[in-house]
Amino acid sequence: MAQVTLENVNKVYDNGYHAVHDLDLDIQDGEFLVLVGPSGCGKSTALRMVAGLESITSGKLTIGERVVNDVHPKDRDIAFVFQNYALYPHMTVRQNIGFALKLRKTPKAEIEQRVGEAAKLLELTEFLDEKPGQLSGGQRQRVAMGRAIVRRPQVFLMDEPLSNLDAKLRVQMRAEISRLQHDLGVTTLYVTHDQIEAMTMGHRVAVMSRGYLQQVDTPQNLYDRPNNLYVATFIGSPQMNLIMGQLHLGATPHLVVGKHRLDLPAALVASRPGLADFDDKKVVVGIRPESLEDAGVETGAPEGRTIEAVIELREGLGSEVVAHARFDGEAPQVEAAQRDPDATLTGEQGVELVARLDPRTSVAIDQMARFIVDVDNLHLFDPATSLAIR
Amino acid sequence: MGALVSTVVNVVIALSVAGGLFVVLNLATNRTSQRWDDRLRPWLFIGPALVFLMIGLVVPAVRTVFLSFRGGDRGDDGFTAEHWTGLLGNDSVLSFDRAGDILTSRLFLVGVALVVVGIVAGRRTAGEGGGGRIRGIDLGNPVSGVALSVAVLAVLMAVFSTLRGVIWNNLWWVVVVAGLGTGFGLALAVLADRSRRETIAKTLIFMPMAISLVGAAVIWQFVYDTRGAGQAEGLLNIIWPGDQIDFLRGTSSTGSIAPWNNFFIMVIMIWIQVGFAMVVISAAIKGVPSELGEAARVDGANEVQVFWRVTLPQITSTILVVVTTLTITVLKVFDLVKATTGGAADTDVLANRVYDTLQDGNFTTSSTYAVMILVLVLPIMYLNVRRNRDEVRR
Amino acid sequence: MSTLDAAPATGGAAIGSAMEPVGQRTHRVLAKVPTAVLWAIVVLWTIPSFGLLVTSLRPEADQISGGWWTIFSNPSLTLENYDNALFHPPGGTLPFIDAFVNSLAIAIPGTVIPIAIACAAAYAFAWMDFRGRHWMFIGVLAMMAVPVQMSLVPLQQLYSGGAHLTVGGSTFIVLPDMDLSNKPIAVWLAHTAFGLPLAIYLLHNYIAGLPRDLFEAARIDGANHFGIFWRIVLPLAKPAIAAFAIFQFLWVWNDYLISLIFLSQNRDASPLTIQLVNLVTSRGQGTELLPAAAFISIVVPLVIFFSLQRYFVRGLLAGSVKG
Repeated sequence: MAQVTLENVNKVYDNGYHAVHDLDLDIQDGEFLVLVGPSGCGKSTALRMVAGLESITSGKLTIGERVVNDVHPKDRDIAFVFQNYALYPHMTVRQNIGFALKLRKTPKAEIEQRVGEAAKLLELTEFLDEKPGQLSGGQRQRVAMGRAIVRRPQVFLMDEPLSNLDAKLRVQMRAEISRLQHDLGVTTLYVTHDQIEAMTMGHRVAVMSRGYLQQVDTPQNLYDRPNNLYVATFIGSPQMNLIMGQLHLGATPHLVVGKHRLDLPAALVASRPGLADFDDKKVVVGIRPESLEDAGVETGAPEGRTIEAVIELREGLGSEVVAHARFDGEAPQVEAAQRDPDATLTGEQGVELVARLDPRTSVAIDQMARFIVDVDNLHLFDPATSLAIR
Repeated sequence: MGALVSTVVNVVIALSVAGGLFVVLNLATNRTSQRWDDRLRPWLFIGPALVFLMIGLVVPAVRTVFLSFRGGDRGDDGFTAEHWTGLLGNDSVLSFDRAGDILTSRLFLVGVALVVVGIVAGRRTAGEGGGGRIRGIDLGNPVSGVALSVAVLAVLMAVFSTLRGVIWNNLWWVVVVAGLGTGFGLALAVLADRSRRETIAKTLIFMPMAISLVGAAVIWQFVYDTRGAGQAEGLLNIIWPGDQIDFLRGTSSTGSIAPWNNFFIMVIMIWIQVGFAMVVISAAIKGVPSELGEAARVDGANEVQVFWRVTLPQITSTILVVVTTLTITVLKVFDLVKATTGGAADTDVLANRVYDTLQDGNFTTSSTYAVMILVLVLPIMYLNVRRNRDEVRR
Repeated sequence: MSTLDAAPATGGAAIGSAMEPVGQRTHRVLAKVPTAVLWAIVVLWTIPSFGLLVTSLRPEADQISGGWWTIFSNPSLTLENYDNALFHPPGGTLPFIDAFVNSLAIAIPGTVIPIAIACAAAYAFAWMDFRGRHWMFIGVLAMMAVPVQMSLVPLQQLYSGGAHLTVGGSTFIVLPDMDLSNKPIAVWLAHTAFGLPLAIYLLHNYIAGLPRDLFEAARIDGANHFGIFWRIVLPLAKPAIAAFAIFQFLWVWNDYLISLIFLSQNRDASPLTIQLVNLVTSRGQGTELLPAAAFISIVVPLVIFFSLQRYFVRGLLAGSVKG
């Protein structure tokens, strides 16, 4: 059990590609930290640097009390679970799990015992004498976990271990891995591109993009207080709605979005002193889909809190209705680098809004609908820097 | 039996010693620091191979080149290019006499006529649609393709009948065996693809590859034999209309059939190598995604067009590999010639000259012939390296 | 377009019935043409070998009087040719049973040793990092095409006299004269050297294709290069090793030139190929034994070929077709 600290870590490849920039990350002893981001963001590179599979170009890596920049992987007391499991195809499950112990010349009896323990924990006992080729995907994944557990290392490193499983199995294994980590209490660094895994499994989540760390915080904080547009659009599904708005402070602070006016609650203004710099200027307004409700369902919709948009698509999910609407307003021009590469932001006039509505809603396609905006939970961003205005 | 036992014992001892050395050195390296491990260990692994390659291939090859430029039988006589000029300028190796006969021979004229036919047919297909490109010749057109292929064959045959000499023999070997071998292999691969029970058929056609060239020479001797001292007629002589012909030596009671006796030796080689071409090309054909052909058929292509325009382009690189491999194999041909005619009756090839001159004790001339083979092989070597170089980049 | 009809797509008539449309029937017959042609070619292809087998079983008198196809009207088979070839051939020919053993004595080491050396080298080229790795590998590739004739003369000199280097008046012995000429060891040492480039190439292709994370997992588990090589690469490379082994064994077994050059003076150690050619060139003496002798020399390759064909093909394809 140990702390893992990355201080100003950089990775530059021989061909000049700068994969990881100035990464500062502090993983507490026993913590489950998830590194999340799209492919190419540097999360796997960072993980492999911690493992020793990639060299560190500059910066300091500490595991426990030791600086391990130049320490061989086998001496770092870490275990690694690979995306494709990397099981030795010609060895049985028993031999796979016990391989590291055998290399360390652990006495046979002890190997037997520890392998048996790990197998029992992962419900693999009946498969101990089979070869990986005879196992299903989920079983192989557990063997890979077993191989990591049996070493009793200080740190677990996992590289997208669930991405090769089908959806149902993934949900199941998510819970198992979380439970396992909780029971064993081993410091874990977990890499994934799936934000749902990130949100459900991690004590804290670190969002990365293009080699830079965007924000590291608890899942709820990431959701409630994203530091920039990237995190705001990456976390949360369906994605946060973004509209350009004109800010007007003064006696009645409000935003003008499209042809509508949204009054800002005093508490919101008070908690964001930075807003003063944006008076009479344009800001990016972020509204989460669940912050929009059908005015037809909620009676008593006050003025200054509604917007109207034409419904284009209506998806009934049973527990809620997801409505896509076209809003006559200005879409933010955000550089690709500043946002989730898969985010949808139209470039022309008109913004596509997504709203999660009460199932009793009566919105219909091609009709104008009125939405109530939960102004207490608006997110405001600087269009130039894409940072949240605080 | 004693030889076998002692050899086995020797080999076991050698392997144990060498293997033991390998293991011991590795274990020793295990104990060194990480840095020394990274620097030393690769050499432990590469070492034995490097030693064998240097002593067995690299150094001798360099020395052979060196020897080819030395005078005297054993290279004691100082540097000179006399072997090279002698052999290349000498009629027996690379002669152009009778070149004039080629241009007037019937085969050649037929070939030219077919080329014209092919071009015209190709132009017409390419020109369809009005306007037509001046330089466009559509070789995808089957008529054009076949006409041009036959034209090439005719011209080659015309030239084959006249140009002789050791190097020319080698070149003819390449053209005929690599060309016909690949062609047959392609045809058989396509045929097999559309037949039932293709695996057995392919196995049987492939089988000659397992036989030694010497064995093959004996097998075909019974096909080519003429009735004579102590043996019966060969199969081909039974079937062949007219007089008996000694196919290998090129003689018959009515005169010589040279240089076509070369061709009959080449047939043996083709018999052996076609299986290889067929297997490799067949694998490539099966590797072409079936959706491509299906899309073409939906677009309106018939079977011939699907093959010519979809399948064939996809397997071009494989065909190239087959051709180059066959070329290298053929340029080195020795066993077959030695075991059939010994190089007599105008069938001499470079590898045979290497051996014969070596037996005479003429090391320098032998080396010269060897280097000639190398020179002919060099372009292929270059192609191979270029093709594989990308795999090496990591 | 209705697909619910019970009538088949042939337009209403069942296949094979007399009412089948002519076009349909022709198409079915034509579809069999490729098969027919193929099998015709197969028959043509195997006639020569078949002829050899039959001839080898005919007594001497029959062989002289007529070709092997007369056997169908005049059957008389015998094993005496085999007996004579194996144990007491005439003239200066070595009994083929001895030649058989000699072939084994050359082919086995000539196969086993290159494999061992090439595995280690292939692993190094694939997964180790060292200076000059790229160029050395290219060198190995280039050597695949170099004809063996380029090495014969100097190797012969090396075997009989050792290697010296004369620098500035004094002569150094680079390799001592171990008097290897005319011994089987000379032959299989040569075969080892000649077979290494292809062996390294084939094995490298395979070993480099093993999944990278397998090696990384092993490194994390604590294995160094030697451990990985021994416990992971070698077991996993078995298919490639098998493929090359067959290839190399056949190549060495069928070789003529190299044995000829290095064993010319040693009749007792000469392999099947040399003795076979002897028999051929000694026309007159023992010609009736030729088919049997030839068959003896090809029986081992044929057995290997038919039983292990899959591996053989795999080796061939690995070397020729990319991927």
